[in-house]
Amino acid sequence: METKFPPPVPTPTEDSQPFWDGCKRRELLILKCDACGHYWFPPSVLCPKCMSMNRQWVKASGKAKVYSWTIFHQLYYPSFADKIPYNVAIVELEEGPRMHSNIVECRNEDIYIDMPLELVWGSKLKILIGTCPSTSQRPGNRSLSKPQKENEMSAVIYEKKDHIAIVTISMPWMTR
Amino acid sequence: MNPKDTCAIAGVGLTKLARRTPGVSSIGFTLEGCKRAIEDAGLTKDDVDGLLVVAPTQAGERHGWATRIAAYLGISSNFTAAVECGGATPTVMVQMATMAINAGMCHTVVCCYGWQNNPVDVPPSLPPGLEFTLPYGDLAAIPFKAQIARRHMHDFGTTSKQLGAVAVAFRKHANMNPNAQMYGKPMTLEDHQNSRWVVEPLRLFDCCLLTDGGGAVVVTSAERAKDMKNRPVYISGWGQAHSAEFMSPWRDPQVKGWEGGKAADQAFNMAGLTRKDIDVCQFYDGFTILVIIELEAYGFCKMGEGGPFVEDGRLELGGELPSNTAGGLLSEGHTFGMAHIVEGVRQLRGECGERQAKDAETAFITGYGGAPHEYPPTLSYSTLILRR
Repeated sequence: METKFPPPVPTPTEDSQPFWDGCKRRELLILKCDACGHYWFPPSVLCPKCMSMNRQWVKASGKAKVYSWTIFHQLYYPSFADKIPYNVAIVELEEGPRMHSNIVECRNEDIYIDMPLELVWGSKLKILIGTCPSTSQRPGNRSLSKPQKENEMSAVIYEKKDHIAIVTISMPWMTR
Repeated sequence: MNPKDTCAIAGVGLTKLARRTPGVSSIGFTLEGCKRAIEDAGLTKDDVDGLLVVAPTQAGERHGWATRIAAYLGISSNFTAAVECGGATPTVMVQMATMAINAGMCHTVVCCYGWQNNPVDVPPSLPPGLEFTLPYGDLAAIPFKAQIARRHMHDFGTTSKQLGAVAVAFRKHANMNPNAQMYGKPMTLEDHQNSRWVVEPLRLFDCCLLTDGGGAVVVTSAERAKDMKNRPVYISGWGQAHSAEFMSPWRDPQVKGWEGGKAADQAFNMAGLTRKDIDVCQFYDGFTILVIIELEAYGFCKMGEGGPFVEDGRLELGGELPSNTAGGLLSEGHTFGMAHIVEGVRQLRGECGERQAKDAETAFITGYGGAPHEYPPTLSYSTLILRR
């Protein structure tokens, strides 16, 4: 029997709950200000640009690019033991906000700043959000639609576009 | 009113700094630090009427921390608070003490910290607020600095060897400081380059130490300081700048200039000094990349030129800008930056022996903190200019 240490589960706040609910529906939600049109993340109750509280959750396009990236060689959390060395990137969404992500379907050494990315969702309702290089940038130009065995990330499905992104929030509660 | 030179640091003290010192609590270290600083000032505890302490963030929710420290110390205080600004806290506390003294609330404030990395009464746990980082395997202080380092390398061509030059300079200084954790452990640039990756592009020797220890400084009015045991070290200028610049939710973040620049401009304006007037620096050096960023932010070099600036021993004793002369967080120990103030004062008193910066009359001291792994990731810059 597998005794793997469980992956960390995001713990939403009152302000971020809609974001995580959106993930369950496979929608990447950010906030948009009704007054000035500013998009923001992380979620909060007012626009950090004009202080209006009139806001709505909108679906981000999922297009993004690498702003910066790192490779974890040291284990910080037990469930990541078999992933080392793994990448953690800061990605910049087309709408402006930046967020953390993992870039999958891509060798660590192939990541570069400004690499175009696109969002995809996990098929097993297990893993979510992340980013990966555009088709033309991918080693061997291989399609991601054919999951590779032994690769957790290959469970990702995506709408085939020029860019892809990916994955990697493990959310056990989504399997329910 | 310009508060320049209205207050002074009259006493400083540090406990032993070591990777592991079981049997002493955070409060224990804090009290010993206070004792050493108060005695260094030639005072007794009854001369102290204010206390500020670094909030013990590793210990979860702790109520009345500062008041309890004051009670354990046996002082009757008119001004007390636990302050939480990460690594900017010690410099911020000195600023707050000066403001309280000028406001007439108190006349002598001890600013202190104590840290036990493995407190026996606190079970290990993760802090809240990690929903947008931990799921990706991101945790703790190092990764965000690695993101900043990567971006700096991309934008300006900064190299790992340049980061190494910072580490090597401060290690040299630690080897002139018997209280430094890395005393007796020299490091070459090759050693730095051979050290393992922690979070690439940061290597082990780009990261500061883990330290059990405590320390304090005593701030009093310039008037009182004149009659005390030590030559007064005047607090001539200070500033702060708080930002979320790397991932700002409210604007288009671009690396054009670090927001920390405001913290230095305020300080130099208050002191009526320029960068060229500074004899010795103590930069908050939780990571080598921070020193490069601070040199740029605070105007010691231009944006993007921090990498080349630290080469050729420029930060070493005898160099153009001797910095972190006790070894810093990288090689003396992680004191939240309290030891930076302590060392700045000792340099201006001329007490530093082998590691004394020649004719040091002015010191520039920084703190740098924030919440790098909680959203939004924030950065706090804080500065002090001291003179003898």
